[in-house]
Amino acid sequence: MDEIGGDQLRGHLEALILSVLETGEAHGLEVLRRLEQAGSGALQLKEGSLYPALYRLENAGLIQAVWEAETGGRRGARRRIYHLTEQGRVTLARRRQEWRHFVRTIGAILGAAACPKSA
Amino acid sequence: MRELERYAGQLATAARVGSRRRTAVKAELLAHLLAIYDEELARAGDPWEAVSETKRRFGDPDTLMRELRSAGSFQEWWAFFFEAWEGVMGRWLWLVGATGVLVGMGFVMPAVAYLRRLALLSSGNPGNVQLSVSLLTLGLALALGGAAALLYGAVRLLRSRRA
Repeated sequence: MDEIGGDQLRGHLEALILSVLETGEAHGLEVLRRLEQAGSGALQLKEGSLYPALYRLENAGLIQAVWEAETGGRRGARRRIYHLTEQGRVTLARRRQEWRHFVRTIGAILGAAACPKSA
Repeated sequence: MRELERYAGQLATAARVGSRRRTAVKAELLAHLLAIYDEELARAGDPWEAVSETKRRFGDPDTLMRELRSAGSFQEWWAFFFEAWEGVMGRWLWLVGATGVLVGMGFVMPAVAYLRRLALLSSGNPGNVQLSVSLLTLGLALALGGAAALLYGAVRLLRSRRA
């Protein structure tokens, strides 16, 4: 199976982040690990590109972040822990619905093209 | 490590946010970069290779900077522009302050001299007294405003040196 990279993920990354945060709060690296795990290695995401998406979600009020209390030996570098807000949960549910509708519609068209009906 | 810190700083400067938020963005990016670095160092064993691989995994800096630039909120954009404007104005604050003090004292000194002479001689034109008091008030306001600008400029300078 081909890898799914940046361009294909564009427009979906925010929903994917919301989805992995639904399972529990996480810092950036953990969000990335969850995405890679959920994508069974097919997702090829440049790690830095996660942050603009996280900041967009935070600005939209869909997620909130707090600084972690301890640096855990990371040479003073602290991480921010993100969690889903109520608005984020509602948005995630709507995005899931939209995605199902999209897949049903496009799948029906592509499926029809792949298996033409006999005359 | 310095290299990664510089790199995180370079990426964070692209974010059009206030300085406090920019520091937070830099700290967060650095934490992630250091985590990748540790993984890569454990894998490769060579610090230079680890730094290079860390940057590669993190993504193209130009793309990241472009995305970070567009990820800010409306309030953060305002904070960014206000600070940029304040930075430009801050360079002229010394000049504005010094001019204010000089012009203000230029009003205050003759007015004080006239009022002093008036008090000593116990005579004078009431119109001139009124004018002198007005000039004294205006001069004091300008001088105090100028002094405040100078003081603020000095505080800014000390703050930027400490940072």
